[in-house]
Amino acid sequence: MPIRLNLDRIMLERKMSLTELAERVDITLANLSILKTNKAKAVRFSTLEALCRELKCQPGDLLEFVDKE
Amino acid sequence: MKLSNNLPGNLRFLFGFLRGFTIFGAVVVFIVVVLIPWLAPHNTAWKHMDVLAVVRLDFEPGVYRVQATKAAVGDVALTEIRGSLAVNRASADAELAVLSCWLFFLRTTVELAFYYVCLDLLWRLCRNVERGEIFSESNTRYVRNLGFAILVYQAVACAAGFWYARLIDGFLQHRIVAEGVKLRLHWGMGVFPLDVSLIVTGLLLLALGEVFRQGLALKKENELTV
Repeated sequence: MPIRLNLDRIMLERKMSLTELAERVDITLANLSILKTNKAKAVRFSTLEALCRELKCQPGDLLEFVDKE
Repeated sequence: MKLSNNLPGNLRFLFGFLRGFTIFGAVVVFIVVVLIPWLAPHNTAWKHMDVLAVVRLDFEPGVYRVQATKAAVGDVALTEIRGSLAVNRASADAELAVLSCWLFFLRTTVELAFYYVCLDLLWRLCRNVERGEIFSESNTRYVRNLGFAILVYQAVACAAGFWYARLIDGFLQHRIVAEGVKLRLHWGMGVFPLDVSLIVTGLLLLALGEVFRQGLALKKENELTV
């Protein structure tokens, strides 16, 4: 997927663990792991909103377009 | 998602039972065709009349007349007669006996194989549904294979019917003694019936397989939506 989620970088900057973020955003650890490893095919606005709220960032900080060519 | 009713379980039991029954049928066919004639060649229990094919006798105009009081000559005509050709599987005529045994063996083998494959696929499908796996890779494959099995069976039945009809036709042409009558074998009936509704069912199952494939793609996408 050319769209990447920089969740691991922002979590590192905020010094927040995966378990803590999962509890705050109210999604399962398995689903958060799918997001973190860039295996997700789609992200709901509600999930993105919760992530931005808890990580205190903008959607643009989380999402990145990577041109493979 | 588990289904609340036990219909898939009951169907799985039924298909499993019928699948076992086809194996039993195969064993019976083996005993009747191979073991009994080999172990007890003088036992007459297996020697029954077997319908080979449906034959049609075409008449030349004027051979037989149907008389109607007010109709003019030619208004009513008898053009053909149909009948079943039955032979003894243990006939003294070796060629005839071989023809009959071939038909019995070929028909039962093809049909039993077809029923076994279909029942096995249906059994597997019901087992997966019972487990709560609806749109899965294996179910898509099973539905598609079921469609292919039906179409392949019809193609094989059609080819075998043609081949066998030629065989019987060749055999009969030299043995029928009749004046002014032309023998024609009605190959489609009695030997291997060509079932149009079964072909439609096969095509329908192929379409259903495609629906399952699309459903699986949607499910996968939904599973990776967070």
